[in-house]
This record gives sequence, structure tokens and C-alpha cells, in this order.
Amino acid sequence: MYASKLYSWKFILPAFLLFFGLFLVPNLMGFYYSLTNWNAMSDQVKFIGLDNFREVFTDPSNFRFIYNTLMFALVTSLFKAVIGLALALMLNEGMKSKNVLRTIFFMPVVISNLIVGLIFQQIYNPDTGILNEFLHAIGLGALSQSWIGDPKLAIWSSMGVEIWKAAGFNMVIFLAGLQMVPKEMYEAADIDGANYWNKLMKVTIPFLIPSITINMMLNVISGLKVFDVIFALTNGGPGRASEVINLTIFNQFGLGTYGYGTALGVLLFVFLAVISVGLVKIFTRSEVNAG
Amino acid sequence: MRHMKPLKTLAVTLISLLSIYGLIGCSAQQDQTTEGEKNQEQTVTKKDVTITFVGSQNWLNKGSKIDSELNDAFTQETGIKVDMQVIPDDQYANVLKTKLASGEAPDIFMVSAGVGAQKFLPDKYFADLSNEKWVSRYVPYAKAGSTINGKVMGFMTWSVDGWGMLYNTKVFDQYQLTVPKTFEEFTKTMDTLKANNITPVFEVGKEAWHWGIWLSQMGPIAEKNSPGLYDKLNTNQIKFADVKEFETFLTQFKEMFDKGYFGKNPMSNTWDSGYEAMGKAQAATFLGYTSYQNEVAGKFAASGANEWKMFPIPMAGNNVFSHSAGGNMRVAYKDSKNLNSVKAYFAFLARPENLKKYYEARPDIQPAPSFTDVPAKPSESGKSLLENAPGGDGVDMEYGVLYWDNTAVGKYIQDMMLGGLTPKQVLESIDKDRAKLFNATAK
Repeated sequence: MYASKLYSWKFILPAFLLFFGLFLVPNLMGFYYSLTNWNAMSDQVKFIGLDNFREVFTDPSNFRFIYNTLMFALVTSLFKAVIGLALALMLNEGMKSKNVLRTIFFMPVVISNLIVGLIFQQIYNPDTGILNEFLHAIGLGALSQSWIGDPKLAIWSSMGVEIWKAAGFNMVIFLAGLQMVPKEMYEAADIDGANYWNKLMKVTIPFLIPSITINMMLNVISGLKVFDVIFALTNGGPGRASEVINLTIFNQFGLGTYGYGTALGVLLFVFLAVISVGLVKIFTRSEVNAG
Repeated sequence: MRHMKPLKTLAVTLISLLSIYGLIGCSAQQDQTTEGEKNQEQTVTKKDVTITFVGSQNWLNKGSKIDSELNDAFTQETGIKVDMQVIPDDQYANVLKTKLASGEAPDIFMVSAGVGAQKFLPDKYFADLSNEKWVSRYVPYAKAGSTINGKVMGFMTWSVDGWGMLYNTKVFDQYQLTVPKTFEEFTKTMDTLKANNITPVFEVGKEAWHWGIWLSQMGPIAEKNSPGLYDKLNTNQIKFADVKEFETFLTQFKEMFDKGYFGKNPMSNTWDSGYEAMGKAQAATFLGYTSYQNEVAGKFAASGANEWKMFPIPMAGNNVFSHSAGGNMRVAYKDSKNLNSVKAYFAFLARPENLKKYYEARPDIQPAPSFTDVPAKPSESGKSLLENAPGGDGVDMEYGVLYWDNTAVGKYIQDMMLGGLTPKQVLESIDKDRAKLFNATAK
């Protein structure tokens, strides 16, 4: 019987207990604390209902970090995947130095985000940074900007760093996915007279759907949860121009308003859960269709 | 025995080997114990303990390795290790508060003196150090700044200091500029400098907290104009938005930004870039503390920075020398199981020879040391700042007003500079943050 081949439920017990104790309990406690005025200045924790949440949505100054977070997740996810895919296609075969290049493109993933942030602070410096110097050198001095000093640009500059950093990671997953595409499919397509574009759209991409799913999932989640790159690069500044939700949470904890910070954390959690489930639904459906 | 199987042979060999090692291990351990006991008899304090010590980046080892060196010397003498953890300035308060709230309090941590310490719940976390021997050698400001609710709760090796406009005297002489006393005079001064391609005021604008420092210095003049203001602010009887000096200051501040007095890209300037701008005379003035000139001189010897002078920020009618309550101090965690080691550590640092070593390595805090053993060395700017302040002196808001947070305030000011908020809205935002904490602590 099929059922007898399933492992006993007892096998999940150790893992579940760990998960329950180290993840679920703190999270559930977070739900409770988000309904209180828990703060740094007093020991008393008072239940205040939904006041924290009401404040999050009625304070217009909060709209900017909500917008920033969503934009950040959307833009970086797309660019990371597209650039990662392009790199993977280029470095899949037929290039002599492909292993060296793969390593080079993967390298940024390995460097700590804080270090990346500090390096890019220098690169983006309007007076001494190499980005503006480079633009001047190639005659495009007019395009030079105050990359992280300009409130309109700061969040976009941060996105650039995140994309630069994580495109290599997407590339690796795509490279692995490309190994799964049977060679015969290309040969058959060649015989049918398909060009590169046809082969990409009709053969490669359908086989890559699982890789795209996993990449997009990870990209969107890491985009919404972004913290350290922005923390090190702009610290949400200038002003609050490049603030994202995790930075706001961090700052609220700094001010000592823990309850409010926790409420923001709960919102992020709920949002992430909805997005993750939604994405899995969307992509697995197309996987089934493709299959 | 001849018929013993290979596996069995291996097992027997392994067991014998293990037991031999076990025996050796036992005897070695025994030796160690005896030696340890002997040592313990010789030096009673020698223990296998590590005390954790958390501080903000610019408070420790600044321009030297003195804190690490003293820690090493302490370890050598007592065997007590000091695990010193340095946290970036911008996030220090956040990290420390989180550590305290999550029950991971370090044995020693650094906090601001004066009301700045209140946000770390002194009654709950700070050990009472009133009975330590070194307390008797404190200078008055150090004792006052480290005393909370009548108990000495901090070990302070700092200097009372204030923020003022440091100016390059050579540049001022070159353009026949004098110390500005009003905002109009200040504007004229800045116009002259700007016309000569010198950044009138160098602002390290990437550091949100530095913008906050500016407003913090407006507290004493506002208090002077309406006595009792700090008390009212601290008991939530008046709001920042109601204080006209603050709004005037912010309006003038924004005007300075819009006129380009802070240079081309003030929002990209990091703290470190200030030394170069001032040291190479690219900029003429800087909002710094009185010992800042020593740091510039240390890095750019040719600048002649030791000769520079200071005046109070001439905005919103300010003519007061605004200063701290004595900088920062180390406090011991009340429930630390290593409290005695911590006290021994403080006693070690408080020895006159160690204090001397410490202050010699820290030119930035030499103007007014916190112990009577070390002579004061006021800087040129410290002396001139007092001369240029006919309004007397007062404690700035960072040290005098509850729930003041330079970084949070600075972010609102950055926002104002970039057109996001009006001066009034900046003050209202500060009020809103404070209201949350007043509400939370309301009994």
C-alpha cells in the first residue's frame, strides 16, 4: 500500500519542536506584543488593541517606506532574474574562460552586505567616487549625480547595489537549471530550422520554469526583507528618502517604541506570507501547464 | 589468542589506547588543578572570567589603541579578560537597548552622562558605584554627570565639552572677517567666503546625527529666554513646536542650505571627510566640539589647526556656550555575575598612571579631564568659545532634554533640507516621537 510507505509522523517531531520553540513561539509572542505599548522607558506592558496598526496606516510619513519597500522588491527581483539569466545563457557553454567568469560574477554574493555598502558609499561619492569619475572620463560627465545624496536617487542607487550583488546568485541557479535541458531538444529544434530566439522561448525557458520560480521567490522575499545593504549604504537617508520597512522597524526599536516596531514586523510577516504563497501558486500552476 | 579475529584485535587495541590516553589525561588534569590552586593562592583575583564591554565606535580607541592596551594590561595583571565590542555610532543606542531588553546585557556598557542615561533605565540596569574609591577623585562635573537619583552610577573618563563653530583663523584674517554675532553678520561672512570659493560651513551631512547636534545647541538660549523650559519639556508641558527659537533656527538653517553655504554635496559628506575639508582649508568653519581642532591638527599638521578659534552658533539670537553633561561614561550591569571583576577593572583604569596614559592618548578629551589627577589642557577653541559667549553657558538638549535622539531629529532636518518637511513639521515630528514615549511611560 502507498500509505505504508509514508514515514511515521513521529519523524517530524524533533524538527517541529525546534521550529515551534525557536520560530513559532517568538512569532506568536510578536503578535501579542504588537497589540501593546511595550517600550524602552518603562517596564509595564499595556494592552492597547490595534492602536499601533492604526498609527502605521494613518501616518502619511509611513507611505514612503511602504512604497520604497515594494518598489525595491519589484525592481530588484526583475533585474536580478533577467541579468542572472543573461549571464547564465552566456556562460553555459562555448566560452573558454567561462569558469573564471562564473566565479567573477558569483563573487559579490560572497562578500558581506555591510562591506558592499561601505564600498559603494565610496563608489557613489559625488566628488571622489569612481562612478562619477568614470562618467567624466568617457565624456558623459553630464550624467554624474549625487547618487546617494539625492533623495530621489538614493533608493534607486541602493537597488543597483542589490542587483549587482545578487545577479550572480540567480545566474548559478539558472546554470543548474540549464543542465536539465536535454541536448536532443536543441538538436531536434535545429533540424526543424529554429533560430536562437525560437529555441530560447520554446525549449530553454519552459525547462527553466522551476529555476525561475525559485529565483523569483527568493528575490521577492529578500527584496521585501532588505536591510543591511541600505543600512550600510544610506541608512535610509538622506532624511527618510531611502527607508525600507526593516529599517523603520530597526529605528523604532532604537527610539524604544518596541510595540510599534513589532507591529510593523507583524505586517511584514503577514505580507511576506501572502506573497510567498501567492507566488508559489502562480508559478507551480504554470509548471503543471508546461509539464 | 592466535585465532583472534582482525576486528577484535583492532577493538582491543583501540580500547587499550583509549584507556592509556584517559589515564594520561587524568594525571595531566590533576597537575593543572594543583597548579591552578597554587596560582589562586598567590593572586586572589586571578580568575578565568571574561567581562563583556560594549561601546560606541567613536568613544573607544579613538585615534589610538589606548582602550585595547589598557584592557591587555588589565588582563595581564589579573587574568580577567575584557571582551570589548565596538558598535557603529549611528546604531549604538539601538543595539544596546536591544541587548538590554532581550536580557543579554553586557557586563559593562557606555552611555551618555546626564539625562542621556535615562533612556537605558538606570534603576533597572546600572550598578551603584558610589562606594568605589575613585569617586572621591572625580572633578565636580564628572560627579554630577554620573550621578543619577543620588547615586554615582558611572565611571567617567571624559571631558566636559561643547559644540561651537570652529573657524580657521587664517582664512578669516585673509578676508578680514570677524566673529559674527547675529545671523545677519553670519550670512555676510558666509557670502564673502562663498564668493572666494571656500565652503563657508562644512557639514558632514551624511551623518544624520550631526544635523541633530545643531538643533540641540539651541536649547540653552531658549532656556535662557524662557527659564524652566527644560523642565516643561521633560514633563511634557510644552512641545517643541511651541518654542519659537527652534522654529526660527530651523528657518535660518534651511536658508543656509538653500543658499549653498554648506557646499556642493553636503548630504554625501561623511564624518571623516570633515578633517580633510578643514585641514586643507577647503572649508572655513565647522560645527565641532572644542577638542576637534586637535584631531584636525593631528591629521593635517600644516593646517595650523591648533590656533583656530570658536564662536557659538550665531543663529536664533544664540550667544550661549552650550555643552554636555560630561560626555559619556561606563556603567556596570547591576545583575552581572562578574560585578566584582568589573569593579576591579574600573579601579585599575582609575589608577593615576593609567588615567595619565589614557588622556595622553586622547587629545580630543584633554580639555577638562574628569579626574583631579590629570591636568586640564583647554584648547584654543575652548577658551575662545567662552570669550565669544556673553550669554554664559548651559547644557545642550542632548544632555538636558528627555527622549532627545540626535539621529532621529537629524533625519527630520535632512528631510527639511531636501524639501520634504517645513521647519514647523520637523518640530511636530519630534513632538510626535516624544509623545509616544510620554504616553508609554504614563502611569
